[in-house]
Amino acid sequence: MPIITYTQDDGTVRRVDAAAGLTVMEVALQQGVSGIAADCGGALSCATCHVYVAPDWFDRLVPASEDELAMLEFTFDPQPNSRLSCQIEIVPALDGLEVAVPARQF
Amino acid sequence: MTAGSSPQSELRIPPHVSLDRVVWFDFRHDAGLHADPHARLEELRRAGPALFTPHSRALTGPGTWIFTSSAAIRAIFQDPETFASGGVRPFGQLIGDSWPLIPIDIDPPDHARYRRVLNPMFSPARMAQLEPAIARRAAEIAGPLIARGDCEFIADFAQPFPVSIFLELFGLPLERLRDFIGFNEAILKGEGEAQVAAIRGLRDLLREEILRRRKQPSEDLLSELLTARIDGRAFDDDELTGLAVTLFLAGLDTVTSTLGYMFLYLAQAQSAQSLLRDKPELIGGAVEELLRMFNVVMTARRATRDTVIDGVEIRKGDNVALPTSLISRDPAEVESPDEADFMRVDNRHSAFGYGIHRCLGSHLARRELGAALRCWTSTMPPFTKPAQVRPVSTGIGVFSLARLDLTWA
Repeated sequence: MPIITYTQDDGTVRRVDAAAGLTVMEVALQQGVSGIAADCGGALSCATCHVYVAPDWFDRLVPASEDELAMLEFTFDPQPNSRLSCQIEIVPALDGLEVAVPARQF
Repeated sequence: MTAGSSPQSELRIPPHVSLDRVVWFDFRHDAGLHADPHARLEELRRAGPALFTPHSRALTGPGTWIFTSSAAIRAIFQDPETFASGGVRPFGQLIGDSWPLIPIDIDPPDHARYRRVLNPMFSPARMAQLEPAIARRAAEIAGPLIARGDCEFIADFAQPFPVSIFLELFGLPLERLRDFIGFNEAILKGEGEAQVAAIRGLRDLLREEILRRRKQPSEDLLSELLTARIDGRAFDDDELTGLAVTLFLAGLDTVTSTLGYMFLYLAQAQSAQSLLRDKPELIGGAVEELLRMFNVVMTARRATRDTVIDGVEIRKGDNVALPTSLISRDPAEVESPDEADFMRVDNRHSAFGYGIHRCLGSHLARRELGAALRCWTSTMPPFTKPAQVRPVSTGIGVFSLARLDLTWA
């Protein structure tokens, strides 16, 4: 099972097993990763599952869709490595993915 | 029979509805809902996971399914192809117009195209810029009340505070604040001719304001809608009307309603109120926790095809009511859901809805609610509610307190 590392805003590092087919947002909620609100449940209407992807990993992800890019502007503090975790589907190739949770989602 | 309601004889139970699912829940006249909407919804939860009331939640039409489990409510929100919003609020049709409410009554794929244009207008970064003005407005409205020793919180604060901020954002004249509140009440809570007249009045007024900005653009959101582009073109007149009416109705009512329940709670829970006075750093957590406890919206969808939810057969055309309070207070998901805990960690609630139609204005709403709590727990004396007055709620899609009397020494 791919392993994903979430760094919470308080510095806590969470390494969790992630089932392929779920999204990075869904795994965070299942595993109780702190700081991901995911208000809308993955429908691209809230931008509260914002994460910063480790630079090494950013280009290895399927690029953000136009709709996701538009929603990223709706996050609290967008950066070049921002993604919405509900749009990152876990596949075996993402074993080792590292993301950081922002200080706030709204 | 109450004026305007359907006579009992017209209420029918369709053949596909099993009788053990039926509750006679009247969205407009239910006494329990008027006494305490959140407690009444919990009663429905105890009545079963899938209920059918022969009463319509909408203006007309057949009965309504009410799902009470978080899983079912979320599943319906997440499936806009099967559970559509189109035509759920036919305000334009009521006055013979063709504009729909945009984006709330728009289904995929068009819905995302509109939200893409609107999202940046209500982004956290833009709303954060308004924070000083929002705090100032709260102080301006609450300040003069101090010397009085009491107030009717809804009319004296909960209405003028968010409505005046909204009117300013929209560039609408503040001196007509009471007219705008009147339109809003008549459209969302009225029925019959008064409702039709209010829709027409609001449409005419907004069209006039749009026309004025075509000639002389200004810095407000209405002007921004005129210059916005969707697929490379400007919005047409119907789209502009549908957008303006929707933003108006959504922006005027929900924060007022939420403030009412928040302050009713704080007036009764003196320890929670003094906690916020002593520890203002808890205000952010208090906003989220009180939002969670007092969801004010019970939205609706219409089935576009036959389907099965929670083992229940739904037929094409069936109406579904979605009380998000039942997600936010679900004991299976939230520890001690009826207790306010301002330090709750990862407080995930559905006060802003769920799925593609989740609230566009949440970042504005959160800032307004925070400013109101900060103002009333820092500059106002400790307030209570006269014990003999029982609060009464109104509303179908949005619950709100009819009035809230507060006193202080």
